Amino acid sequence: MTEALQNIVNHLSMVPQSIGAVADPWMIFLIFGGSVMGLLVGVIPGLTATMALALLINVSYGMRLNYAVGFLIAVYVGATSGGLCSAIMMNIPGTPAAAATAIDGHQLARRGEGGIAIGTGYIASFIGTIFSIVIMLTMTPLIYMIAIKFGHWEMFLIALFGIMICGSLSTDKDPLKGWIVGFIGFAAAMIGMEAIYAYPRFTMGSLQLKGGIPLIPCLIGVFGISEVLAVLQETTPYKIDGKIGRIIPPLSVFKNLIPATLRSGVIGVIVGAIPGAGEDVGSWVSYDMGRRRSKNPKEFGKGSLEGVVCPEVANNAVIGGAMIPMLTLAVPGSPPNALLLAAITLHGIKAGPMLETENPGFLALIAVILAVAALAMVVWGLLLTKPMVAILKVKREILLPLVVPLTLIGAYAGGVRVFDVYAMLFFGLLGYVLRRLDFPLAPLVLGLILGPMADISFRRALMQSRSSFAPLLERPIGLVLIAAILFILITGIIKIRQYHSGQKTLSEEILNEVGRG
Amino acid sequence: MNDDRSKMAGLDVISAVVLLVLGAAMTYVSYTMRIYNKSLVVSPGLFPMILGVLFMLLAALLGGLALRRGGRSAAAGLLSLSRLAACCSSPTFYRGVIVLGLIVVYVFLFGTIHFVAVTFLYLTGTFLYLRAMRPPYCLAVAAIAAAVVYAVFAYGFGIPVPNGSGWPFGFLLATGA
Repeated sequence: MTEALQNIVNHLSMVPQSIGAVADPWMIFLIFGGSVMGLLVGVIPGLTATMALALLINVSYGMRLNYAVGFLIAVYVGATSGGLCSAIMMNIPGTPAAAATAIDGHQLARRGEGGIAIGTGYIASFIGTIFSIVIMLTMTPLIYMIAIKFGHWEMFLIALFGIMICGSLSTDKDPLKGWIVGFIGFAAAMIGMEAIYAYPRFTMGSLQLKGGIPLIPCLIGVFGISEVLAVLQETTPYKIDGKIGRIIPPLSVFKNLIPATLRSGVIGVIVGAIPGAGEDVGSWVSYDMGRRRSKNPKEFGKGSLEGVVCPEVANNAVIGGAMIPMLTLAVPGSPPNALLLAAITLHGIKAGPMLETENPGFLALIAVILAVAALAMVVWGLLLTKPMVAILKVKREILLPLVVPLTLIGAYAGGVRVFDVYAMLFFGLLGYVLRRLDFPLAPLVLGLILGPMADISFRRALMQSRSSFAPLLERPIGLVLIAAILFILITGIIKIRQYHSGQKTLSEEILNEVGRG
Repeated sequence: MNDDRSKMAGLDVISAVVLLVLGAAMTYVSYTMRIYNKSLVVSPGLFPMILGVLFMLLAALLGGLALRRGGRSAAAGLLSLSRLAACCSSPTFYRGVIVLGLIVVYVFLFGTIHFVAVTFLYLTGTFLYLRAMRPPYCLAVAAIAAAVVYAVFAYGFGIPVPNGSGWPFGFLLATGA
């Protein structure tokens, strides 16, 4: 207990030093610039926070580590929040994370209170991010203390746990499809020279494939190209309903919603800490819980500000929550988090149990950057609401093609190889096909990241134990992980049966109950 | 709603067949991989082989569940010539294929032709096909966007952007302009 407290205090004591590192004019400029870019991408329907990071990751290639992290986190926070603008004004969520916000936000916009809803949403997003930073700063050192004891068996089980839970939670439909996609990610990660004997697997004689599947181009393909293809197939023009009106909400809005805000923050952090679950899951769960616990549940679906606050606090709280497994176990908590992990790896930071020893101040730096990024997001969000609504009037047929050159540069610039651009195209098509077949994409990304760790840890563990599984039964953490995997498997099977017997999903149920089914 | 679920059952059957083939192929290729120290357990093929077997099991489960929802007739319907013809003639499919085709051409010319030229061609083609704006505006926006993206990334952020073989600006490069 004392050791745990000491570890937390050690990390907190590095915060002032990190404030010093962030209080650099160039850093502040990058955070505020990244934030506005994130907001702009997030506001465009169909373009998610993952897409924003995929498009802008290339900008960070030439930057120093601190600047790159600051810029990308600002993009992440901005894009996660930006989606609420189109959700409220057009009933089309800019990002999946804002889908639950559209239910009440759009009703407010139709009453001429769209501005208040947007302003409330941005402030709620700010509170959610700050709340998650506090939890992140206290929980991460504790997880480090456990993670440092992990051996090969535990690392393998963590990878398996990540895929199982991500597959189960990244879709509210059929967990089986989530698991399949996760293992497809594992399989794709097997391509190239394996790390123990340098034996080339599934390379088909290609020299380029010996280096393995390039991670960042694949992520750009899966989330960039597939999104462009999906959005450009739609032809219905955007329509803005209602007037914006006043933007800054009265303080009483939040005074009355303190319990809902805290509850949504907790939900967001917990969902964020679950590998691959993501911002959209956080906002739906929080909206559902808010509706059940509200003093005025009948107002939900008819234009309740509480219905805007709950999902917006939660989807931003996911950001800090998702950082916990990313920093301690190198397991991203959400799809945008996977891109952030790829970016920091590119800059020489190795996330995982050893991060605390190798880069002791990194957690505090992330916390301070997140706080400044949240501030930048709320400032830009409140100042630029009207211009951003104007952007929504630009046709998607103009905006989306402009995204494609950025994806190509992003894929090419990392390794300066045209092969990476082909890999991006292949994974873009794969992502598009999987999307059409109702497979979630988050487990694919997680599989790509965790695949090498699962393979190497599994074989090394077997080598150490002379091909025996018996030592696994002597490891308490391993047994806990096995129990957790079995639990996910059983609950997943129940969910599969419910889905195939025609039971409604959580989002369908909520929309049905609030009268939008 | 029921129509969607039935169509999805058909697609699930097709996905299961593809996954089954993938799993079988992966298992076979992994089995033929070199074995080190006379032990398959620590050899490179072990993990992919497990994944291959897992794919076959998951495919059987996916296919089985889909068949129970009437996936066989739905899959046959989806693969029927009349359905394929109807699908190919739908405006959404047509639009998707052309948009994808333009991206594929762009990707394959990327690195061969100068970035500004190939981006200008791609954007112009896409804008014109999607009727995003009137043709003169399409040309102007495509030209400005291609030049701005190149300038921002190549000069602003110092990021390598392919110049291809220099074509069609090779004469400028050759003369040092």
